[in-house]
Amino acid sequence: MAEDAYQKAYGEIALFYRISANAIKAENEEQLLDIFLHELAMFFDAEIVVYAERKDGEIVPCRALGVQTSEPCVIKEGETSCWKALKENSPVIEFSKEGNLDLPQPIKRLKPRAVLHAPVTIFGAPKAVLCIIRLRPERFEESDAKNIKVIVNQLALNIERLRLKERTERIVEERTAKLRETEEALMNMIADLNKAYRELRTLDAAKDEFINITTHELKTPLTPIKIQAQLWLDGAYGELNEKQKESFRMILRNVTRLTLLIDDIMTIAKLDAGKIIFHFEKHLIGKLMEEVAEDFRDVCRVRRMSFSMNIPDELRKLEVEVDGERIKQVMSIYLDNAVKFTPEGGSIALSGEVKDGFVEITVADSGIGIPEEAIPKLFTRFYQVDKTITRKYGGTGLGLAIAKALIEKHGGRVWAKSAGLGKGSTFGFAIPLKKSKEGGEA
Amino acid sequence: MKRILAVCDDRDMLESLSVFLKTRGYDADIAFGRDEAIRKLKEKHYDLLILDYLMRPVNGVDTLMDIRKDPKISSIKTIMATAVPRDEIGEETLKKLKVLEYVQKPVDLHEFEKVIRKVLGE
Repeated sequence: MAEDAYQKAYGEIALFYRISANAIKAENEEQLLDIFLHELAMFFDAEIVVYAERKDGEIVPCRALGVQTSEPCVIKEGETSCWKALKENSPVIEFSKEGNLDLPQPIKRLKPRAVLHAPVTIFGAPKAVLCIIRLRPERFEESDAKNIKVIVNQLALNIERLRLKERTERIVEERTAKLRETEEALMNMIADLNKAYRELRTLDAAKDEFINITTHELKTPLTPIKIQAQLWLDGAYGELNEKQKESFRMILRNVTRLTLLIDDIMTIAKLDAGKIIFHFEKHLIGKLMEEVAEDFRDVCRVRRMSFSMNIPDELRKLEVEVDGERIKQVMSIYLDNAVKFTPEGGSIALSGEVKDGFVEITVADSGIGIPEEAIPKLFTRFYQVDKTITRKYGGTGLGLAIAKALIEKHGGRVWAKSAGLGKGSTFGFAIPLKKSKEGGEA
Repeated sequence: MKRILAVCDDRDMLESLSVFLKTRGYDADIAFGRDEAIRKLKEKHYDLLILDYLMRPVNGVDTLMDIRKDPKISSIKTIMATAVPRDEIGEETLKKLKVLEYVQKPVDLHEFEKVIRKVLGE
């Protein structure tokens, strides 16, 4: 008897060990259930083992050993021992000498004599049942019910493990897919952006090339026009009367105007494209002012205007890192405008001073002045206070826009002031004494 | 009489230059591009070459490079007259090709005359 008990205990331990060792290797629920069903059939010496799950008021077989479950094999919710095991969450043993147990038809047909129903608690709820069935008339014992509890726990743990693994894998897969989608979308976006950037670069280069060629090509026919008009005026084709001379002078004036316009457009286009190379060097600001003034003294004398210059001593000795030619160009634009809009007998003054870390240069005139509402727009491209002024005074409407861009490249600012129409105007710019990094690069 | 060769690919420009140069007392000749310029320079002696930059198919810089490579004609005094701003061609190139003066088109004839006389040492 003691040997029997020992044998039995040994068998139980061996079963638990085998089940634990094999179950952990199962990669899916089918494999896991096959392992359990086989071991249980052997251990309990049972002909039939079925694993069934509770689904919407029915117990539906999922995996079976020793019986075909292809024909309807479900157990509807009711007073059956199988349901009792599930509801009470405890093993139920039944025996029928005549083989008359209340089981689904495919099993019943085989005349089962003994059954052990063991509920399986998955994630805290009895969701499945293991049915171990003997066809021969040999009852299941209470010890069997105890043993089955341990095995069922093993099964439940492994089912939970596999489901968690599957869920994790699914989540990882979904996230990976989403990540891949996002990555793909991102790559597409980058590719699109790169393409757009390349297209823009090409377009930009094409625009630069177009402006370059156009401006040069526009100037080419102007040269023979200008030469021919000058040749006529020089008398190369015979003497001209005054009316004819004035006609050729008009041609020349307009060739000059067109040339200036082309030059200004070219400068603006180059500034936009960052193609103007700035040569920053130390310059005496007073000297730059003197050089520009030199050109304008004669112009003012011819037009009977007074020209004065005010350069304080500290400015004469002051060296500032600027592109000298560009600073002179801005002063010339201001002085040109002053001469243009100041009637004979008027006055023009070029002044400079050092103020709050900046050099300020101003050109003041006693000319026609600017209406207040026009002042903010003066430095925008092609802006003209009055279209009739353009016809009367000439100009491209780009000079002040160029001046502003050139000064901003020095890290400075421009401004204009006027007390109103007929009251003269003052144009100024300020550049920092110390060249800032962003101001220095073209 | 000093002889000047004007080179350009624009016929109106060449004819205008030719009339201008003749009125100023020069023996003016014209060439329509690089090949004709090199041929004419080899045929006759010229005192001055007035060269355009924007020419097709060979531009003024490449034309002048070829002229400077040929020892028979390489020493010709050269003025470049073009619509292209000086900085686009670059000081280094102008110096290397021994361009004595650079005139921006459209030229002012009185200024141009001064430049020509200066280069010719008149």
